[in-house]
Amino acid sequence: MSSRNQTRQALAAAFTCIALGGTIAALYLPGPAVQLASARRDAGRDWPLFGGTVQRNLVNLKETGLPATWSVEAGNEKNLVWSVPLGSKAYGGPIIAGGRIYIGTNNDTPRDPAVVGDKGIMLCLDEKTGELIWQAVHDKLPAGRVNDWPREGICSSPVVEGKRLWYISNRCEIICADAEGFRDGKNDGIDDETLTGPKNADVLWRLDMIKTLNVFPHNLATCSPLIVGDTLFLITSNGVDEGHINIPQPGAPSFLAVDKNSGKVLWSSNLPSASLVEARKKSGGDVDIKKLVDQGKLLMHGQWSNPVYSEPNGKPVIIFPGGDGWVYAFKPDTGDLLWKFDCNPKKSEYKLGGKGTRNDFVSTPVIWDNKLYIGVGQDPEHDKGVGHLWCIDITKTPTNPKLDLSPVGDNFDPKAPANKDSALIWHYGGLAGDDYERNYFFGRTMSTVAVHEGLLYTSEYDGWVHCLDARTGVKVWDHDMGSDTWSSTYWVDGRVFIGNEAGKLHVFQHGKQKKLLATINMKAKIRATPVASGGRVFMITENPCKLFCLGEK
Amino acid sequence: MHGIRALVLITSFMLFGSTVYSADWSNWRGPGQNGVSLETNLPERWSPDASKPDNNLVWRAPYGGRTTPIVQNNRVYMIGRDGEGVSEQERCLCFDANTGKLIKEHRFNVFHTDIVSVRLGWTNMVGDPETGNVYAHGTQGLLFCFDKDLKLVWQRSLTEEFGRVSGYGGRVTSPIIDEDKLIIGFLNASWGDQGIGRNRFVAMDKKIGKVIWWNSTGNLPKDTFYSTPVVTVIDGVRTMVSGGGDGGVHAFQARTGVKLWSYILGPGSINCSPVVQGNLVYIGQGEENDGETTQGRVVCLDGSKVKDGKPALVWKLDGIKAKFASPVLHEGKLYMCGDTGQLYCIEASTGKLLWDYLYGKNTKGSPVLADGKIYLAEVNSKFHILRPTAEGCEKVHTQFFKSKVAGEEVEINGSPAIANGRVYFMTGSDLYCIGAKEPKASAAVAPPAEDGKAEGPAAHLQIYPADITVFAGDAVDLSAQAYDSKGRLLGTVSVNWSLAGMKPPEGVAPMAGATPPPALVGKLSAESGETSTVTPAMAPPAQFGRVVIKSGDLTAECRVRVVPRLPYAPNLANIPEGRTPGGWVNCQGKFAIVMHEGKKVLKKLAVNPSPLVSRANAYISRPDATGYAIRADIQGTKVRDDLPDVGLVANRYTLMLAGNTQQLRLTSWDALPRVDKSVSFPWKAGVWYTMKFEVVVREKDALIRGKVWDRTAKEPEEWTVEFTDPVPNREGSAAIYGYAAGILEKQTGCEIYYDNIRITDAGK
Repeated sequence: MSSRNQTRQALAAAFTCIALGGTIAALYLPGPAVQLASARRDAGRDWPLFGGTVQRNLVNLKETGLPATWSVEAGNEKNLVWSVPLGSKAYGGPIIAGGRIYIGTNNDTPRDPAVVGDKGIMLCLDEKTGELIWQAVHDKLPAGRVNDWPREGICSSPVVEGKRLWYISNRCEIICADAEGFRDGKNDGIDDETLTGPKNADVLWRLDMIKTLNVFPHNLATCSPLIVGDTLFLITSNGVDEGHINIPQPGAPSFLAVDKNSGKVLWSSNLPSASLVEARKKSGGDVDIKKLVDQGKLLMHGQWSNPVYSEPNGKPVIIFPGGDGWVYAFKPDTGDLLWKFDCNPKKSEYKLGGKGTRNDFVSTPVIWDNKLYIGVGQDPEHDKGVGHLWCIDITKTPTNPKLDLSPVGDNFDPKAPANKDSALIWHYGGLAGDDYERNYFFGRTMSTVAVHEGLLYTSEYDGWVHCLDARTGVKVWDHDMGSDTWSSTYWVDGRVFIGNEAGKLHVFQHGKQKKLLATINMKAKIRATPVASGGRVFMITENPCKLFCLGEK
Repeated sequence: MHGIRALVLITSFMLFGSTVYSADWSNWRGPGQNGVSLETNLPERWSPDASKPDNNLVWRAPYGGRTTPIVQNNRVYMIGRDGEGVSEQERCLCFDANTGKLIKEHRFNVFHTDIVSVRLGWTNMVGDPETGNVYAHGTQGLLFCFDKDLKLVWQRSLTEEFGRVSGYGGRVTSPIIDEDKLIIGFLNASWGDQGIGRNRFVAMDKKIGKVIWWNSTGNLPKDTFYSTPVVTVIDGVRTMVSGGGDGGVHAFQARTGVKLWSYILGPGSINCSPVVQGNLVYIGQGEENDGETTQGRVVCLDGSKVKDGKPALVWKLDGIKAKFASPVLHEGKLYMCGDTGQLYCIEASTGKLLWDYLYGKNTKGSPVLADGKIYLAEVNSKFHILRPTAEGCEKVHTQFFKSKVAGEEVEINGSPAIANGRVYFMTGSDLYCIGAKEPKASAAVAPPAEDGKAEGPAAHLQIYPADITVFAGDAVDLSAQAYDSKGRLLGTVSVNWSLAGMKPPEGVAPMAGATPPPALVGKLSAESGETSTVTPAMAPPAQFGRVVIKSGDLTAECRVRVVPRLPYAPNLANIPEGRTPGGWVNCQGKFAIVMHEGKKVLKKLAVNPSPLVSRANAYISRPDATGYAIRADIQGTKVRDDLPDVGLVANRYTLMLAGNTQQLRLTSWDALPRVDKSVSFPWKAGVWYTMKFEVVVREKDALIRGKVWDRTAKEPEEWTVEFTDPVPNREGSAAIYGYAAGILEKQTGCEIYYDNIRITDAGK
């Protein structure tokens, strides 16, 4: 199944290159980041962006022979190559490319005695030893938690290409940095860096999205960007103000395409907040924001998801999950909207503070076999509630002028006549009746899915792991880990890893039969998703916050 | 049963004077303030289904919330929320502890807070065993004293009187009762030495609400906090210990507020309440540890070994995220919860972790230990009965609560209360009483050790009351009290009395060369003696100052706010540039008098982007003011694409010109919003507008109406916006409102100017 699918994708990729040529080719070629599944095998064993490829599927087909288990317990170590302390929180990465590891963290356990206090830190470490090569230091924004939550560090996972990397700082800046830092003794690009020692970051260009694009990031700008050709795509995290209702900058972009070399904005879209701008124009100002939100027309809170890219049937498409709970697909070169899909039931309602049934996105969409998979969720501060997992046909072309491919009338049966123009392939989740042990079949999630050989693995905030038939959405098995999870399922070497808040890494065997191979006690919360590269597993833990390199020495 | 409790009470009186410790669960951590109950024969299993065998369900009442109920004099009290939309309110409830029958309800509105519905009522009530009174702190900052039947005895408005900050996370603090005092901590910024944001504690006379003392932790707060103080005797001194919003645990003499020591254990705020045994204080925090890879810390401090204002650290244990739940201390073991369902058992003498146990997924409520069992809820709809042993912990019973509302979890955020042989707790939807079908008397818990008789010489002076709000021309009686070095009252004392000006904000040096604020204008009835009466002059109509007493090297002061009497029209020309109008709360540091277009006007400053500073109400009148209209000329500046929000406040309603939406907006509790009516109103930067706003309170509702017009034009006949509120705010401080939008790092945002401010009778 899988190989046929990959072949098709490889063909599609090749076809794109041949057919488009000209200006489009200039945009998309050359560039190793267009790594459709087949291309990955040839691209070394790097994990150069969140999700490994622009399709973000948390499946690693390169690595084999990983250890079956390990121990990080002091005095009883097993298969522990090395470990290094990070800050006290690390949600960006690990990204592994060119022999380096990139991790976004904060400034607890300062590595530079001259840098004290709360900062956003991007670390570049040596993949072999975990030793520091350089770090980027970003001051906190003075507005405080509404724009830049204390101690959260940098949540963006960089995308690395050749000798450069791109990420979003806690200050809502796009940073393009030199992978060499100042170690090469040269100040490339802009030269306003204040820290220029050999272990400091060398910034090539910087785009302050607050000052130049009026973005108002809610709580933190977090996006893990991706690159296709010469274009960097990202979500700005534009959102509500501290009162949690008003959107101070509805005209500011939510989705952005910039030139990766210069930082020049190529196009942008404010679709998740455009309705507010329009409604105010129309009414002269009097707008019921709550009504717009509950109609699914307006972002609810912040925007903390990531874009995904694919080329179904040779047609490039860049897809962004919006803070309004819709998924938007655009033509990557022009920013023209291709289609959109509502991931909330029309009857759902958003309630301030966390109750309510209308969700946005914390997880990242994944594309596999021309299908997009994404689960909805909310800020974990909002606690738990009903969620939905969607499978969307990205080859579908809308026939209606609104370009809306959503299911109609809250009917989630893809075969229903009402849904003949919908891109819905299947829906999983929703509310459960009295005869089910839980209140819903699938809860709010922050997890990104992994799909392999027709099986989809994912988890939800409440700590339930689900294995579904990726083509039908039928449940194959599920498992309650007994502890919440912020982490995602990661497929590698015939196994599925999933960590949880209690610090237990669950290792399931890939397959239709549920088989829990091991629970490995990491003695610390597991919030970041593990990554395998070069025969090793890299795991970030929290409390204590460390990076572990696991494998045979 | 009543007889037994009465006997217990009488015995307490006889033994301990005014220190009454009944067996009731009058405060949220129980009579020992340590999460332990001495009750026995408590249930091991139960069911909310009364038809099930062994259900042990005494009663269930359909009133839920996030709080911990208190049980006093055979009644259960709680704070919660009710109603939807314009009718949404907070309320205090009183139930019969034996039947669950609702006896009384007191409802009140929410206003001037960023906290929304689901986090209302997240404080705990407290009872006073001596008087039977009960107390509550609401989300809007109302502080109530009720009698046992929830009849109002007194109330204060901490937000309008003292510039209390609620934040938006819902972490609002709970009061405690000790001896003759109510004590509560919160973040505030008001005027004078309190003109800067700090975590302060205030003690009030529990019977009438007058201020006895204030003090601050001395640091810039990082966040709102949830720690509730406890009072015990440490090293012979009656001591109040509390976590704070600055990441510290702080000790004050309970009777004087004199600060004894501080220990900073984290960079965030402290939500844990401490437990104290002997001289040892146990507390935890759930944020980062500066310079460490870990999060969360539990410490044991020796409050009798204090050096340079810091107690000795006995031990610390890092890596336990004690973010919400408070510890239990029992028989040498400290039980502490992590943030995600872990229960840790720590050897109290050494800090050695004996065992940990994963009881659930998400922690908010605190454990209570009784009868060899731990009663503990997790947010995720589960109430657990656990049995701790020397080696570990076992689950005795777990009850899951299935949602009754589609898509919503049944959250449990509070903690259990144990009294009368029964366990009381609530879910988001119901209040439960489980245990014996027949109630039984509770065992009394010994009060803290006595701190002995006061002995001279005097080491501390205090004026009672220590903070007054008075109209010009009205007299207030003051008395001077002396305390010994251990904070024990020696009695009234003869001192010298004088009038002084307000102090600069705490921790801020006065500007070099600046004229100090003038002394309070008024007179004292006596310049020496044990008492004096202060009478502020009729002019100025509003001012700030102090009454200061001196005896030898000792001094003390009473903060005096001469609050404007309505009608009122401040003459801004009389106020020096850089200063703020006298008598206004939460104005300093956020507003200032400036020369603008050749005239002195009041400006909303726009340099600090923190929403706590960039957005502010400057409160002018007393909170019980009503029946007034407020008007002002207002002007905003434009920065980049931003315009500010500019407005006026009457009776806890805000009328504002919203800059970026070009609306005239009428709102109350705008975080919800409970009241929200907007009309399109295009307005421009640099243009003076006149705004007029009034609230006419009627028997069943209130008519709220406002108008705005170009200042150079004639006042329009019609009101621009009107609203009839069926659940009206019946009173509230008049205020000016400003939100200086568009402040970026090192870039001044949108400034606002106010002129010709006038408060007159409504309806004219």
